[in-house]
Amino acid sequence: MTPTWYDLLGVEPDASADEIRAAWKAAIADLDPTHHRFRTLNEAAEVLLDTDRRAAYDASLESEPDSQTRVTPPLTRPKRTGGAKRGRFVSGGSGETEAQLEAPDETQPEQDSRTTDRRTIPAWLLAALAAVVAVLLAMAGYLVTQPSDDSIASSTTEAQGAAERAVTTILAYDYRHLDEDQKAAGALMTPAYKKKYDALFTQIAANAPSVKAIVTVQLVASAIVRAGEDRVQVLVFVNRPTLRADKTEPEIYRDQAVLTMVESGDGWLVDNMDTNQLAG
Amino acid sequence: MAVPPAPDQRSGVTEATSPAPDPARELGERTPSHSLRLALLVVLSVLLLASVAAVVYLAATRPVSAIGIDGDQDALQSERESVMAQSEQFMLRINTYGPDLLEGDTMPKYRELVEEVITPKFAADFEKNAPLAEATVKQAGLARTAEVFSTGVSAIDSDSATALVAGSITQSYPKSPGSDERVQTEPAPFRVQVSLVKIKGTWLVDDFSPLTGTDDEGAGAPTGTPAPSPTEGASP
Repeated sequence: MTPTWYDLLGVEPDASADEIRAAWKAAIADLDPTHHRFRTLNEAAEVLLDTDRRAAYDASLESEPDSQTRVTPPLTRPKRTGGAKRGRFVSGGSGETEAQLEAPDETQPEQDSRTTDRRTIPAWLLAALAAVVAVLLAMAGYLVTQPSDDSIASSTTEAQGAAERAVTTILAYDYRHLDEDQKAAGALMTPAYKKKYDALFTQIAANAPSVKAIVTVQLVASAIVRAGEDRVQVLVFVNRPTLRADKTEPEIYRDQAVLTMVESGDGWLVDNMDTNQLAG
Repeated sequence: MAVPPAPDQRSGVTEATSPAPDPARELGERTPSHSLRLALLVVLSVLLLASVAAVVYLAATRPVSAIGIDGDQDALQSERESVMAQSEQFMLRINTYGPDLLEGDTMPKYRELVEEVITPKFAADFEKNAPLAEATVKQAGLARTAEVFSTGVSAIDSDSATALVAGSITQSYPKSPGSDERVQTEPAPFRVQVSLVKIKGTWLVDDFSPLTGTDDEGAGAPTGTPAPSPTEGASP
């Protein structure tokens, strides 16, 4: 809604002349006389402190249903007089004011409106900017959830080391402390893979004591099959010297296994071990 | 009625060339709506710059294949897979031959297939050893096939790589001279380390050697009965 002279001075429409004067003085107190606001405030006071002009102004506000939306009071409209150039302002009397009220310059509100539009940041611009920012933030949010090259490289190296350590524990056992071996191996696995391992280890536990099997594991080499931030596949070559009651020297078995490592908390766990056993 | 003196009253036409100041305009500068919009514009502009910078940085450091952003690690994995594929091909090709490839005293197709995946330097060595394989085929009717279980890359840079390959070789020979009936041996597992170099954008095998993990590297003929492994049969 466009303000009126009353709004400009910050007084009620039924304010007394003294109130208007006081408001005007207060408003211009800190203004330089050359400031355009100074001039506007003077105009407002000039109209509202003149009984006739104020009455005419009030009438104009009341006569127009949409008067509150007018950009400027009609009393400030330039008056075209005689040979005066169009647009020149004349400080006319009340007669001129009344004439002007009857025939207000219809072009002025549009000009004022355009002026206001230029100074007001359009809502569509803010909306468009907000939409662009939202899209960019969404993209950034998605990208930030993706692993960086550095984190993938670092994770892959960590997983490879964890796989090398895990395989030497998981494939080893000693008939004298099978429970401990099973427990140590189980701590390096995900729950899902531990179920498979436990089922297989049951068979080992049934046979190992009878042959007094002692299996140790030596890492030969490892390689990356697939890198990743939280899931890495590692190929390991290991030798398994195996000692039995019926052998005087350990027999060496040469194995290969692909371990699927998954990140869990602060470390890496074996989620699967795919092995084709190779003879020694 | 006394009115405050307006500047234009002194000259009468002092505002002739300037538009009349307007209260809406004057008040508009101070309305909450205007201030709010201005603040929003500033905030959104800052957010725009920050989010553009963030997207550019994140896109440069994070591979997202789904939207066509390939990072260094994607490229490295792609190279790794090329190395693994070429290493597997090498082990399959060099261990796949038999009487069906024999043309006279040689196996030209066998040589051609192997030499497609090796460097010229290694090809020179291969040409020296190929006659031995051709002789066993011609004289004993030997045939060989291979299976690769797994491959991985233990080292890689822009133009060289080392791969590990595990698999098995199966041989067969005629039950008796001239017989069509063949005897097949037990699969003989192998573990090898394959060296590759990149030549004109293609990974080629430059050398390979058995990887036994013992002092007798290269002499790794499979023997013995494997001990039970706790993971045996755990493959999907």
